[in-house]
Amino acid sequence: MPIEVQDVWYVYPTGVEALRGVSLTVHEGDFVVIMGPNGAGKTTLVKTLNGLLKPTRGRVLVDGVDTRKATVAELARKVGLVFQNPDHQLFCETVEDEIAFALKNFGFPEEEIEERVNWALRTFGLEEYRDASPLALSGGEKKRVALASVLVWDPKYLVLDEPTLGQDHAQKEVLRELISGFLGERAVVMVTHDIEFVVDFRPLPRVVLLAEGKVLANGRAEEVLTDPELLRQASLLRPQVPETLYHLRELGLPVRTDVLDLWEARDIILSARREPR
Amino acid sequence: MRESPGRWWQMGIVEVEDLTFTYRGAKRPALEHIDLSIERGEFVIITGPSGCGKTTLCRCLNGLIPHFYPGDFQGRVLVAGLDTREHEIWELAQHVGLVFQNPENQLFCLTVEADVAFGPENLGLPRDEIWRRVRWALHVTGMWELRHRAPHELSGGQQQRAAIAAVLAMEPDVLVLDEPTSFLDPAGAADILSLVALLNREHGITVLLIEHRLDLASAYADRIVVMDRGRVVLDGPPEEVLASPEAAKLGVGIPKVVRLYKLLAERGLRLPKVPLSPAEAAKLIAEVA
Amino acid sequence: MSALLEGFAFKRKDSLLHRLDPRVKLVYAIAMMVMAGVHQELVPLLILLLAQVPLALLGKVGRELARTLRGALPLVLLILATNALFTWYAGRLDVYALERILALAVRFLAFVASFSIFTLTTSPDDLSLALEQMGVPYSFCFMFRAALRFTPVMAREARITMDAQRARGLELDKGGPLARARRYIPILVPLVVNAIKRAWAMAEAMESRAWGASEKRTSLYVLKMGRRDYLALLLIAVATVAAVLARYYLSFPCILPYITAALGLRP
Repeated sequence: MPIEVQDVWYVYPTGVEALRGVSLTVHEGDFVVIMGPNGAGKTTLVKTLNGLLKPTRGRVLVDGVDTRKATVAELARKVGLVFQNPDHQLFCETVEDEIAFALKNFGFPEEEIEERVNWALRTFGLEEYRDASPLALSGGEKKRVALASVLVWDPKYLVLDEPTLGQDHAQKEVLRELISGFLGERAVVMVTHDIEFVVDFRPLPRVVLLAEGKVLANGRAEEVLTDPELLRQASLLRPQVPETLYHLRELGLPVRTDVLDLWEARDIILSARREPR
Repeated sequence: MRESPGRWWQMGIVEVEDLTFTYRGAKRPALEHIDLSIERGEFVIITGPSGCGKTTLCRCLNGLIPHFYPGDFQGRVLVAGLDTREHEIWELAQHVGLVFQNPENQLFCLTVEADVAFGPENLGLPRDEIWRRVRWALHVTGMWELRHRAPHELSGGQQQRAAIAAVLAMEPDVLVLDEPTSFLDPAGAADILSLVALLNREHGITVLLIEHRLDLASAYADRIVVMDRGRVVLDGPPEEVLASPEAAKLGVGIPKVVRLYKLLAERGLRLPKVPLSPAEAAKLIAEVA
Repeated sequence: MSALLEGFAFKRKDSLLHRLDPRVKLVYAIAMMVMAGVHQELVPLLILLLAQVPLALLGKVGRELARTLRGALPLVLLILATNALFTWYAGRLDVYALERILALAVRFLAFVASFSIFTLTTSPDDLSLALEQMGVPYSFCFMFRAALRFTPVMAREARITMDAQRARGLELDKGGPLARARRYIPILVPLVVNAIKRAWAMAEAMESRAWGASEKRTSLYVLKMGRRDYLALLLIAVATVAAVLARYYLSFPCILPYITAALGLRP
């Protein structure tokens, strides 16, 4: 059963219309990336998925349950939301406690808590930090602790808000591997600006572009992220691979521009070169 | 210890000589035997994996190390000829301006204008001089229209521009920016980087930019310095550094166009130079095709 | 209670009072304390309270002042009730005593009104500038401004933290008072830690902009008293002197007996 966002409007108490008729479906096992400029409503949208915000109009169904009729704690069992900045949630004395926090809130039995915490520490490479203070870790490690503390309760839908913020290239690769490992078993919804990070995923995700509270586009990454007009409307930088191909076509070379893969682009360039002019 | 660089007029605006620094209470040095020379007017990018010492190096340039962060300091750092150990932070701040990652924590007044005035006010300058600097800094960063706004009313990009304006009011020779685009969206990041490039090109301000987003920033730079575990491992023009095998091994974010250059070269299509932007890459490919 | 607090928040408007020097307004608030402080009788205190209404209108903050006074009513009723209770218990509750108790309440409202008018028409910026020019050390003025600057930021962070912890199953509304208090630890710890980190980052930024460079710190903005300000000060001085003199040289009738008689109530 999917998450269904049905014509959702959200108006903040200040009167700001953050979402203006957004519709979207996330099936089990889907990989969806939500992109758009600041203020487009991306964070508002993900907060409606676990009930933190209830739609002003329209509704959100999680596995058939209307979010207005359930508490955040109930919805959170299925929809795990990892926030942007780990500094806004880490508070325990040890990494172990931090990871176990949600399990205790959800009322898991003791033995299961221990088992799951061990799993999380292993999967996220945090075993050596078991007894360390989460507040004393590096940026990349904190990110992994935050991620671990959500995945530990095995939510069906994993929602990540700007996972690559403040991370260097190597740390992003680690995140990419971890996230890729969770694809397929569960649905992953990722909000991000980092277009070069998105285009390196295999398989490529479905991309939803949001601007001014409305859905601009909802389709395959190869189509959405290579369309200059859509990218402009969504205030996104054009990824270097299709951008290069685009310029090449302007210069007269017969190349396709809906390509995000570096190796595919290389092959296209090499074969275009051998074409008789 | 290295010999000091010849005659004073041959000295770079920033000279780091065999610098080794260990934070108090730390087991290993954060910086080891760093030698770096920055010429006036250069635009240098400093990059490297997390924990390589980039931020520590920044702090050594305006005196935060050793005055604010005590520790074991060996070697020396000369900024506009001043030895950072022998001068107070407030003196060095007039030559090296430091812009931090999070714009929110650098703006502490209730309006942008007040924040920009903060530095010159601290120096006890006469009011018309303060006004002159504030006006100039606000105009050059495009913040004049927003000068009466409160910081929390601004977007991330605007806040960072305000922070840059506040530092420019000190009229520094060198602008050091520590990952200024970390918290910004792509539009904001591109905006800040082009502002910094403008300050370098048109106002002669030497720029030291700590940055991971090399795809955006490398086209502006004269030079890229790569650090790893407290040492400088690469130092040269962007084309050389980014295309080098060491950079790839270190896990530095090599821009896709540079990787394309290497992939094409492997298959026999060698471009005349290493491109730093998609437009440049296309032009070079079209030339050879 | 929040209505009471809101009544002290600065409202950006253009009015006669807004344009006055903040120091004048501060003097006014203090003067009112003196004026209302010397009087014990209901009639003069009512006059002092009602005289502030046209002042509030002059500052275009009439509605806000009304809200403040309304917000202060619970406290006022408390004052009235406790005093009345004790007086009755001592067997001295008569119409004159009641009038004196009402006078206390009105005096309290007069203080609230004057202070409220002051803060409603003075921006925090101007206020801290006024303090600075009156000789308060710059560090204190800076702390004051920084606190104001970062309060909305911390409020926002608190909301984010609450959301993040609720998304991990934390239920803040469950349980008795003690259990609920403990549930706030996951909110308070990140808040405090971030506040400390913020203070550190600010210190670095301040040092990097020459904090402490000179003993003699200049200020871009300077408050200058104009003709209108001196006139206002003069008026305040005259009013204060008049009020004090009135206390000692005039006698005011008690009005409550007349009111109760008119209403047909027994004293």
